[in-house]
Amino acid sequence: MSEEDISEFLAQFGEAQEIASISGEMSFLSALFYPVLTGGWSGFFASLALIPALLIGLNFSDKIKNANNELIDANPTSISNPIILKIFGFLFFILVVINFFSAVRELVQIYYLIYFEELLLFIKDLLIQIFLTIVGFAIASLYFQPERVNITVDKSSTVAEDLIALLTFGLKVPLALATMLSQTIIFYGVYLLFFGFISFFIGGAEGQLLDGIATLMVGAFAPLVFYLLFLFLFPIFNLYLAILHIPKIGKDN
Amino acid sequence: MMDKYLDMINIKIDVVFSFIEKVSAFCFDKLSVLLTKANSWVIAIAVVLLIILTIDAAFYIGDAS
Repeated sequence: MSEEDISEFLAQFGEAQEIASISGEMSFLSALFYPVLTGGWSGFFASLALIPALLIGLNFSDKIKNANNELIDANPTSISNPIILKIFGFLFFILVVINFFSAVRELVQIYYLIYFEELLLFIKDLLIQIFLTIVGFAIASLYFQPERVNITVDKSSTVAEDLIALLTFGLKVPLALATMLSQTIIFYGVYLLFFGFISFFIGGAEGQLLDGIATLMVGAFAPLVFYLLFLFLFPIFNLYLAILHIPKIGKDN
Repeated sequence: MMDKYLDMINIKIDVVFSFIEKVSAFCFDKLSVLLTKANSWVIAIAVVLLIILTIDAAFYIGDAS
């Protein structure tokens, strides 16, 4: 890569970040996909590369699905009483409801609903909020069924083991719901992409289109990312669990 | 006297609690089914949109400075 290429890439990246700061919507990840919109051969190849990247991501995700389930099965944690998880589930559910109503309140304040175009945009955003709220409720269901993430109720579980079960719950949830979360993110990405296309081809707005592409790619690779996150973070808790198991050695049988 | 009212409130909260449990389980089941059914279509739409984007980019070959 010559110096010219590097400076050109940096200039493009700077331009993308400028757009991000203007629109206030585009994330750092979306800015990475900016070459897609630059035109020329680089824009063509960047757009062309997205299709195999998406399909490869989906293939990886499909292959890693079983590995995710096996990781959960191989890493049991125990809790002395499931009530704390149920209380967290209750709080999570309430937070999702509050989030929904605050989002709707914000949407009502943003859009002038007397104009038809703005009403359509309001409905578009409202639908996605409803969808995300349902996803939040679905995630909350795991708090009420801890056995799905291999958390067993064991009266002899120590306080430290309970704490580890609670701390690792957040790591196990994405793994247990990897397929569903991946499909959800892809669905959301395609939704953004579709409306991003309309905004791009009619109004020339790039932010939503890039957000859609970024979300789609994140969704395609999500199970792999969840697997790697678990792989890197869970061993710390494994170590603690091994230490806690030392006093039990010889007393199991 | 007050115990009776507190018990009544507790029962109401328990009802809300079990309702939340049922709603979340229902959402999980329905969402899993919906996403599984819609997934292939969603991916097909994504690929079509990306092909359109590629075709659009092809029109601008030679335009970039």
